[in-house]
Amino acid sequence: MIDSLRRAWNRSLAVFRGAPLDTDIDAEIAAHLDAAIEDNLRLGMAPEEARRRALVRFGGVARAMEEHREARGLPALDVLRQDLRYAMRTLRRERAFACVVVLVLALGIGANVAVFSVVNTILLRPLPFHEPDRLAWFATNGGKGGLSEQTYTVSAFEEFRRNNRSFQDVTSYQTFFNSIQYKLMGRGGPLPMAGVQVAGNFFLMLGVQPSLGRLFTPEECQKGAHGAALLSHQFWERQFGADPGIVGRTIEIHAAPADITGPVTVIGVLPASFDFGAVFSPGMQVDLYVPAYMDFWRTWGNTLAVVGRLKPGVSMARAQAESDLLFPQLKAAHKDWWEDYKSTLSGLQDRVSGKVRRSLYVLWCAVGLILLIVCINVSNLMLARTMSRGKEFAMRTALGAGRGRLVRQLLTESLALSGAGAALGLVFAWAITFYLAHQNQMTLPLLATVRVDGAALAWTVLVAVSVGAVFGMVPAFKLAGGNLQEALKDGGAGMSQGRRHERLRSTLVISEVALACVLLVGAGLLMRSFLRLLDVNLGFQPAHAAAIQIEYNDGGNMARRGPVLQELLQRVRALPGIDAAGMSDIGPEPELGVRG
Amino acid sequence: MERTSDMGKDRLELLQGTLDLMVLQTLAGMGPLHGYGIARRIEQVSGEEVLLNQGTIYAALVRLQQRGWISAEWGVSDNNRKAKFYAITRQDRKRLAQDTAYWQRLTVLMGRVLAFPSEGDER
Repeated sequence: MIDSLRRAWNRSLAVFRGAPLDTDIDAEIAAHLDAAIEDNLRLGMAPEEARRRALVRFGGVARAMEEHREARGLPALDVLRQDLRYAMRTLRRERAFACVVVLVLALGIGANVAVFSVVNTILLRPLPFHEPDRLAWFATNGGKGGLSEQTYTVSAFEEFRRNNRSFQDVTSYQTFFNSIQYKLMGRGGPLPMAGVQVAGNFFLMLGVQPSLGRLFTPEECQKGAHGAALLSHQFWERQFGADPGIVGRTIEIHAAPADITGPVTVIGVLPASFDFGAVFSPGMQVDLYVPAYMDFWRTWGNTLAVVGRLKPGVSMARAQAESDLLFPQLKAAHKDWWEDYKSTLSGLQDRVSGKVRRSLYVLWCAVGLILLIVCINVSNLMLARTMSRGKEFAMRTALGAGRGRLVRQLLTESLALSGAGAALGLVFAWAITFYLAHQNQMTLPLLATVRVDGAALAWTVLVAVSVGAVFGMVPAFKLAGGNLQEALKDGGAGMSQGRRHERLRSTLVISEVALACVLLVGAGLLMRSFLRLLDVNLGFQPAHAAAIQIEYNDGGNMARRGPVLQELLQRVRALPGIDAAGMSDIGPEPELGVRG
Repeated sequence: MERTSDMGKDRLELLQGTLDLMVLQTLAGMGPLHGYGIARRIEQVSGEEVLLNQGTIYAALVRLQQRGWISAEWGVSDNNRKAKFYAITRQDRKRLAQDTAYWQRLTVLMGRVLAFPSEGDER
């Protein structure tokens, strides 16, 4: 067993050491023949005869070499190497052709891999939580309307959490994160942070474990408790130099208007894989997580977004049915509820990717079509090239090359081309995904985590091989179908440039035009659905509007606040180019793409 | 087969795998030898019965070498020529013994089977 492995290993090694091994066996055979001739001479033969007899006994130097090589290396690999070397040589001679083909392929494959990476991240890869398919998103009011219409009161959340039977646990986070400004005090002046207030069981329910420290305790989530905070991995790296000693240390936080101002203990750091913004609020980068004090928010109306984890074996439909019953019952029991919180439940994954699903599939198909067009184009080029090489192939056939051998060589050539195209395409794809992942302006969910990963690499290999096979097949078929005499004549000065060639080529052109039409229609549809996606009714014209977040200090004196703000507005209105100005305690929703 | 046509008439064609064993046995008996020496030795021992293209031996040698059963080294032969010498590696004498035993059993068996008179045999 070990011996066979050793042999296989040595054989593969030998493939790459062909030249020195050949010299070695050459010398050995020469020595062998010399010794044999010498022996024959000693027997009294004439030099000519001695040499002849030695060669006869040896039985053919070329054959011995061939046998030796076959035993030594891997014949199939040798052929492949030979084909590759030949392909490289011919392609080097036709540099312009090779460059065009590789570039065209790189564009097609690159676009494909980039879109695959996005599709894989948003649609295919499960959410980075524990058993994400059991997570449900609660949407009240059919998920329509403003933030206040889509969210829940503390009481609604707590009552549902206490009374439902379908969910293992239900958690929530405070959605009006833009209304609270967090600042890290000390360390060279106040530093604005993006913070999110979450229910105490938020991370536990999602199944996110901190990479350092621990999660919130129930005591820490009570109003008036000593402040506790979890840092996001990115913020921890950026602001604290990834210092593991941060856990347990106290930092000074200023938060307005919620009451978490003061010293806060850092109890842990979340893993890099957890990205709140990517899942719940596309485009947002969260630095800090603090407990949402339910007693504080109780009087603030609808502020909580609710996520639940289904009990094992409970279906979404059953949970929906229970929620349909439970919320009206709760409403009846609570006279102070304004609405019945009729909820639509959906898988968290659907909620995250639902809006863009169709667009992404269309996009995926579109790049697939582009790749097909690329294939056809390259096939056409290859075909033209095969025709101009008709004579070469006819010659090789005449010299005894089998048809299979020629087809194999053509395929090797096209695979080499598609391989080079894929390598370059991968670079394109990497650049595109890098750009997309660092695009904060685009509010696609999970976009920040898009990257070219193992799955994308596998996809690239798959695409490259199938593309190479497809456009290599066309000239190979052509070759296999042709006949030798015709090729010899055709390649010559003959008038009949082959009617069959024309037919094949016009078939390719027709399919190319057809595909281009489909692509055009597809791209049109895609644009439409994307525009619809972005076309949210804001209720105002965002084109000439700007939002600025301001800090002011009224010293806690409510009486002075009005005059200060009025004065501020007056001055803004007085600025040249300003038509009108107004203010609000909360900026436009981040989902709408306008940022303070 | 062309081999039979251009070489002697009544010689034995080698069975797959037998050449390897012959090479091993020769090296075990004679110590380090070069390719020509091994080929000559096999021919002599077999009383010129074996049909051996001497060149075939090099495929067998590289096979055995890659398995690690023999080692090879360039040296100088008796008549002061450069030649590549092959030697059996120590641990593979055991293997040779196994293979020998196997072939002996096989020959005995074949002998017995072939000695069995077939039906309608005139003897």
